[in-house]
Amino acid sequence: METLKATEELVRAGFIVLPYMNADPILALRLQDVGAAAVMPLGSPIGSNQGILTAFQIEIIIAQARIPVVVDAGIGAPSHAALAMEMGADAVLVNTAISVAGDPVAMARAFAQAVEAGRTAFVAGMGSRSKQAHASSPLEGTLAADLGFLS
Amino acid sequence: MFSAPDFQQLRQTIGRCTSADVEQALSAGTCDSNDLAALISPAAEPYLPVMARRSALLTAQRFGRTTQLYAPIYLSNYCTNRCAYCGFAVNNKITRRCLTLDEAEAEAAILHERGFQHILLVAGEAEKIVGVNYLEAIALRLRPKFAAISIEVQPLSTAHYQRLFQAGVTAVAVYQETYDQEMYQQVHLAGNKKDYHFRLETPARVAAAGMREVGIGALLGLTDWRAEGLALGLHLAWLRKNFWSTAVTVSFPRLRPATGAFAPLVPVSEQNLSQLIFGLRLFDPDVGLLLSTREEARYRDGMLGLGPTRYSAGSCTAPGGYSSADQTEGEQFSVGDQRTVEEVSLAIAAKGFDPVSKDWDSAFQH
Repeated sequence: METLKATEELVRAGFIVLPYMNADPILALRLQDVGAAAVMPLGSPIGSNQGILTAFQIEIIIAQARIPVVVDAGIGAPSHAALAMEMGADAVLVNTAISVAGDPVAMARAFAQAVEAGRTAFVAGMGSRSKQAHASSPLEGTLAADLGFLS
Repeated sequence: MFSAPDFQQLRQTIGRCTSADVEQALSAGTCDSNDLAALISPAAEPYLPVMARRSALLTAQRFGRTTQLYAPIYLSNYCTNRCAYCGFAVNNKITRRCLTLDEAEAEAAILHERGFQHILLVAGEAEKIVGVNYLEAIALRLRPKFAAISIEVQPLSTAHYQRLFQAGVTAVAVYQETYDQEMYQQVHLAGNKKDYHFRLETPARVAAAGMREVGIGALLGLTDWRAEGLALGLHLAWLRKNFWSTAVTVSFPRLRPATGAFAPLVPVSEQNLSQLIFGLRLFDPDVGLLLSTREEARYRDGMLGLGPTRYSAGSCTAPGGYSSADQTEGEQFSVGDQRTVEEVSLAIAAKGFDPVSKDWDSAFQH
């Protein structure tokens, strides 16, 4: 709630506000309503390099938002950045993972490639996931409703 | 603001859809507007039973095994518009009447007695007769008796919608009739309703006023129902993105015989209507879908649980119709399902669903 109040106050004072926030879908909408220029949900605790542990919430935030969604915090490996971009995030914000790498420049390049791959995959349209195998003609034998009542 | 969709482009998008697109839409976890185009395209027709099943599962998931019930009260059939398809059109020689506040309350008392908690107040568009003061006075009188009060009247301003919300109106229905601008001009011959854009922007004004619910819809039978359906989907998605705290419902009035005998320009079959309903359910699992008594009992019974969430019942579409002996004098359209609310409730229960008369309380508003 304090993030929301601060955003409202700062927007009113003329700032462009990019709030870092917990991955709460309703908070994201309310931040959008008070004039945030983007929302920046965390993937996992800041500096933890744990990756995107809030994927379900971030997916909802992305589906609902009309402002950019930047996944921030917890991104510890290029694969995490790629995942965020595949989900449809507009950008990722990475610090710790690059600054503590053995070769920060090479690591930054690896992140750039991952972001590009993830974005390309999102734009290309990802197939949906399933726990079960699917026949190549997926709709054969699917349960169907009886529409015999139609005239 | 939601901008008018290019109707020809919508038709082309739909026309290009193949069965592969339909299969992709049916296997996707969520549907975007391209998937909706595929689902309401001719290519999806062979998949109708599969779509129905999917639609039924989603509806049960989001709404439970329930069907909400409501009834309209026609307040007035005065109208300053000349719409080619409507029985209330200013040039139609019918008996005109506007209920007094007492008469409106008497109609409402009859519906309350029958168990309704949700009413829809309907009036022709005649601002000087049915203005915001009149609607506000009625809402204030009816609020203690009803959990939800919807209105379907001429488009109003945001400030007027705010006033009505304060007075107890919970929802506003305003149908674009057709999203095809050319057809819109052809059938709206005179009156304020000729203004396509003012009407198109009305649902946003309703939501901006903080209404709990806004209803959109298209009058099926004027033009290509598939493109109309895709336009409805786009409008719905836009409202969701911009007004996340207002619920949206969609209605599918199909043209029926009216005084002035306007035959549908493009017939829409029950098959077509069902495809549109299932497609929209797959596109938006949370949207409320209405099926009124314009449709016949057989069709409404068959559709129970397959996608629609709200039915009107025991409806009369003439002002003062519930209290009068002749319920058809001066009506807007003739109803296709003549059953009483008890009969409709029994049909709902027979399918294993609960008829629900209340899903909101004014206490939530404060």
